[in-house]
Amino acid sequence: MDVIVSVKELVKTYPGGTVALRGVSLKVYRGEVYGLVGPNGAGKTTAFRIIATLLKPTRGSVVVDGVDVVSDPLEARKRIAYVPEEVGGYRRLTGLEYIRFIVSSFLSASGREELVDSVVEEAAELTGLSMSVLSGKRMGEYSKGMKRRVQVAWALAVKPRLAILDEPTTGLDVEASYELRELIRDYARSRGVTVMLSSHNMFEVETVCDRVGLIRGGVLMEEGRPAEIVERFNARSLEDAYMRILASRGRSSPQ
Amino acid sequence: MRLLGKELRTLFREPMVVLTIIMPFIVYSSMAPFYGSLAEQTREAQRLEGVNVALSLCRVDDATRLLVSAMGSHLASGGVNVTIVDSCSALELLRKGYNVVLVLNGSLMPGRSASMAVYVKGSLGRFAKTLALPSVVSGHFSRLIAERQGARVNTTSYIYLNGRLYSFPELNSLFGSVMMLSYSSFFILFPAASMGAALIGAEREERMFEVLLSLPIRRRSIAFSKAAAAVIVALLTTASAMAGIYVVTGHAGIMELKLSRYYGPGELGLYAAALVSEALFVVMLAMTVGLFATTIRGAQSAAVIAVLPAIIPPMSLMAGLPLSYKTALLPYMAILYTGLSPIIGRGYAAASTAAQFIEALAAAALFIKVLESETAVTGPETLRRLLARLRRRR
Ligand SMILES: Nc1ncnc2c1ncn2[C@@H]1O[C@H](COP(=O)(O)OP(=O)(O)OP(=O)(O)O)[C@@H](O)[C@H]1O
Ligand SMILES: [Mg+2]
Repeated sequence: MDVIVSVKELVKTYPGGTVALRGVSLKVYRGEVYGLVGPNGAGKTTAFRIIATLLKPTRGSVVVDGVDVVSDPLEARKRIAYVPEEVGGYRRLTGLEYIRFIVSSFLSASGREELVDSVVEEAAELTGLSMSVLSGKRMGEYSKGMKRRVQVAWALAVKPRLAILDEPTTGLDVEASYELRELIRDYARSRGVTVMLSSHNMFEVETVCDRVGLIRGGVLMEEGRPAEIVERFNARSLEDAYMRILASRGRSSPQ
Repeated sequence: MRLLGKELRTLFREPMVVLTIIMPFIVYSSMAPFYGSLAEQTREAQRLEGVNVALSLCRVDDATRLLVSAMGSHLASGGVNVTIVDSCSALELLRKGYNVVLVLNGSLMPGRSASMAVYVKGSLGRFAKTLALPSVVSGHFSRLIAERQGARVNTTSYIYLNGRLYSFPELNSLFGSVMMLSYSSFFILFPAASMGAALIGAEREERMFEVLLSLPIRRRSIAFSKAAAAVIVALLTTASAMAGIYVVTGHAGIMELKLSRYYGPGELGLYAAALVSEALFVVMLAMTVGLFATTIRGAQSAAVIAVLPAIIPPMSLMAGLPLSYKTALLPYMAILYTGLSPIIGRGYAAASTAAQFIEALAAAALFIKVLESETAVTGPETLRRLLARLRRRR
């Protein structure tokens, strides 16, 4: 299988001195949905920001689809769609204007301008929002869930080599998170989009992800298919396994 | 009280608020040297200190000659260098090294009339003194003449500056135009900096910066698109302000008439280029500073830092501007030198404007560099930590 993301010995020390990652190595294969789980402050967002070229690693390397994200960030960005943890949206743009801006920026960088119209249309559909909302209202008026749908929709519709979704369902209602999970699972899988996501919802991870990495205190502690991990710890569910792992190695984070 | 405590903490823990508090002090105190120099030059002018005065007698009668020598020795006893010469050519005397030449023509005897022309050799480096001297000199003599119940005296003043002779009102009004051009540049600089910073602050406030930075867009394009948008809005603000002033100054447009008296299309073109280059420069600086703010408001108040130094050139003109290319090449100087081009020629203005464009590009390179670094993401956090560490050290 093709390796899409290769993270090696990743260390990140923030300017203030906080060590957020202490030598994380992992691989994500083409078409996979990879979930990163772990307590608050474990280093998930830090890892995603480094992969998405926003932060520079202190040590270690990240290669996405054959491109080193540190030495060639612009080339790497053509392959990665990143949806950060905190949902945002340009207040003064309508959802549709926003989607068009992002999609055309993304596609024109890799010379795929001719696809813009169809991808915008597709993304608009993936949001599940009505046209009256998408083109009639500015994003300043959108709820958090609506913004999140818009963000995830473009990130999948542009069919990047890698979509990074940091806590995509946090704060969404039951129905919206259900739909989003379906979207990630079905749409991404059928289009061959590789996804890295993080979540605090073990049920979600268990149902959506092909493989899971459990990170704590900047260290990757366990990795494998959800079913494998459940079996390994003789647990009832992934959540159960997660609790056992944390309990067996000390609850508090090593900071 | 508890609520006030919370509100104050909210304000004081925002670094940009602290900055807005400190800024006025820094600005006003940085003007101290200029005001000091202004005051000193005015005092020097009042005492005619270090001034060589030539009392030049041109077609006067003997009685007047006697009177003038008496006045001359009176002044000399007061410590002023006075020489009495027979000549009608003021320029020649100025070139010989006199700073002030007073040419008397006619008779100072009671009931008669005379004309008194004061010529001052001016210098841009001591401009306040230059502008003060004519009235000081003519004031002195008018008083002496009045004490002796002398003739009606008609006084005119001229300033010899940079190889050209200006009547005093002419130079004064030219000087007014230069100041007006300098100050009206704030119409564009403030909104440009503030809009640029707002565009950065908005990215953070709307939680979009990380998305924007993760897109395959060159940092260069981000920098110049934001700057261009800010400058366009600033130009519209300027146009609106100008239109407003036009309405206020009335039908004829006083300002316009004056400007076209001193500035041809070449100078006005240079002025436009100077404005745009300076706007571009302050926008880039303001956006760089804005990277450290979390909100639009925070970024905008910090942007003021980028514009305030623009006050210094007009201040330094009043106090005394060294006429050198070294000074002309400094940032913020292009508008002033363009304004002065009727006096000093277009060379300085062109060089200054070209330098300002290069400086704008350097500022852009700085902004792009910071945008490429992870400070673009962690800027506000980094600033907060830095301030916290400083506070702890104290
Ligand atoms: N800009 C920053 N400057 C300094 N330290 C930071 C910064 N951002 C994060 N950290 C620190 O790095 C560590 C890892 O944070 P990170 O945001 O990666 O965790 P996370 O796993 O995403 O947590 P959460 O589940 O709460 O989102 C934490 O200790 C955090 O305080
Ligand atoms: Mg996080």
